[in-house]
Amino acid sequence: MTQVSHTTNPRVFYMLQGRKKVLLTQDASPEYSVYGEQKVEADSHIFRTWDPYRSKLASSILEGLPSIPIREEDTVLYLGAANGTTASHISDIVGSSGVVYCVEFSPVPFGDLIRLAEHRTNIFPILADARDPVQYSFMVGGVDVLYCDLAQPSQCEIVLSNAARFLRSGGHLLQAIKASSIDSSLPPSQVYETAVSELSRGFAIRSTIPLDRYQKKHIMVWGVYAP
Amino acid sequence: MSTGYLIGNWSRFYIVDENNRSVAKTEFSGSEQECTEKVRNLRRGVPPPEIITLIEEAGPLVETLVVEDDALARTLQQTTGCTVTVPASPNDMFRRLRLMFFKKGIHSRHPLAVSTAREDKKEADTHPDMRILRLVDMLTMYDESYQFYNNFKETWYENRFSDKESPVIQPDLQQEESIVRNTDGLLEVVSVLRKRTRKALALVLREYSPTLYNVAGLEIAARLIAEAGSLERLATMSAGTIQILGARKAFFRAKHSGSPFPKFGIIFSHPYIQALPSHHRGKMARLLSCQIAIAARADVYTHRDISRQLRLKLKKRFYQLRGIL
Ligand SMILES: C[S@@+](CC[C@H](N)C(=O)[O-])C[C@H]1O[C@@H](n2cnc3c(N)ncnc32)[C@H](O)[C@@H]1O
Repeated sequence: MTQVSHTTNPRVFYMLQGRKKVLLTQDASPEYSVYGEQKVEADSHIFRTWDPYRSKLASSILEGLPSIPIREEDTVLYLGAANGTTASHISDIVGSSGVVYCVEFSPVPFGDLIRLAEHRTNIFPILADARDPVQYSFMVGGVDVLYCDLAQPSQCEIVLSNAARFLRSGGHLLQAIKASSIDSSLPPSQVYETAVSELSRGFAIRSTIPLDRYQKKHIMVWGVYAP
Repeated sequence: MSTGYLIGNWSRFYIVDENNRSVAKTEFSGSEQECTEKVRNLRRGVPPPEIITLIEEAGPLVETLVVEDDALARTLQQTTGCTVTVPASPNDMFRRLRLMFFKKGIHSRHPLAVSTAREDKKEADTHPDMRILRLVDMLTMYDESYQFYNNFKETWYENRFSDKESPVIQPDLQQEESIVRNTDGLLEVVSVLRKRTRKALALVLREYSPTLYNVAGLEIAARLIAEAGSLERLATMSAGTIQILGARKAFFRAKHSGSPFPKFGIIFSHPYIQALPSHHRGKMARLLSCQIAIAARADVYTHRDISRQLRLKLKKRFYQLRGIL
């Protein structure tokens, strides 16, 4: 019998495989596998394993993000949702009363997001460029959490301008930063420092988690919006 | 008389006054398909009738209407005669109103969101940029498979007949050989498919970016667009960037290790560069990438084929470098 416990976040779970912690979320679409993740049945619920090598949010949790600031029923704006790997777990976390707006500008992975939305009524896929939030100002409502994983040099500016339109005061930012996508000639620590100081214009930074064990030269920034 | 803010979420729209009070409200009517078109048109700056009616309804109460989208502001001002403005930077009022009006109860718009997404994807898939991207992928795949099978075949024969003069197949290997011999049929199919891919690309390019096509040639034009992500993005790039486009790896290696910077990327295969001795290639590449930058901009911004002038300049430079002029 598999033993499933929850982490500091009541919607994020784990089980032990030997001494390894395997993260899980409660599956909102048991009939559908998003990216070949494993399904686990316990306590008459279906859970999906959450792979830290595939998802920077999962690795942030394993690498010590105190508690992920996404709760049941939250509304999340996700910039750079790609195939929806991470977005699908956020969709599990916020549950059927929550919403995940998924902005992605590349039509190929966007096809996968549409398929995901067909199985999950809390996923709103939006084909648009995050640099131009006006494009989707009639599609996204007010949000509790801004999640950004864009691999764009101007990502901090993009985050600030999206927050200014959609994020509530006191809402949370989670931003995955890949050093080389901002500047590959500078040492990563310097890139992070510049990025964090830029973000400080709108956010009180709570922590920065290095993700190198799972994603080389990446960090996750957690901030609270204080416009 | 006061200021009103137009806010909305997919199909539901409000005009709200400075005291956060809704002064008028509307919901798109019609089938899902019709509503999808309304949403998509609105994003292009074309308001559906419901929005016009909404503004007329609020008219007596609202002197100035504030919206977030420039294009929409222009069309609304024209069609309603109302004063419509757009805040210079994101206006905190809109953020607060969105949180007040559109935080919960959005699930009812999910079907509309999915059908909008489907239509957007359909449109994006048939966009020339996406067609070029896919066709370039196909071209690369056919090139690579041709080389792969061809190498395999040649290696097989080289290893069996070290004596080139009098090739004899050992009886034990005859069955193997007959399979390998049939690789020729495969190679033929691959080259036919490759030709058809080139033809399809030519059709798209001639229509979509004739100047670039005529200046750079089919494969270079297509690969540049694919590498940039779109013709529009290529048109915003400097000649220097275009010159080394497609040499990303070499570029970053140079930046890190101090090895020489790459002089060319995709444009290296251009006949004018190939035909010159290496000490002249950099000069040719500089002019070529300049002309390509101009060509891409002409195709995007003026929609005129100005390749004749650009080609003339290239030709002159080429002959000059060859020492013929
Ligand atoms: C690193 S991937 C995201 C992976 C995803 N977050 C996950 O964990 O499942 C970055 C994505 O951002 C998208 N992207 C980059 N720039 C963008 C922009 N300006 N607007 C929208 N999407 C963008 C890319 O197309 C790509 O799919």
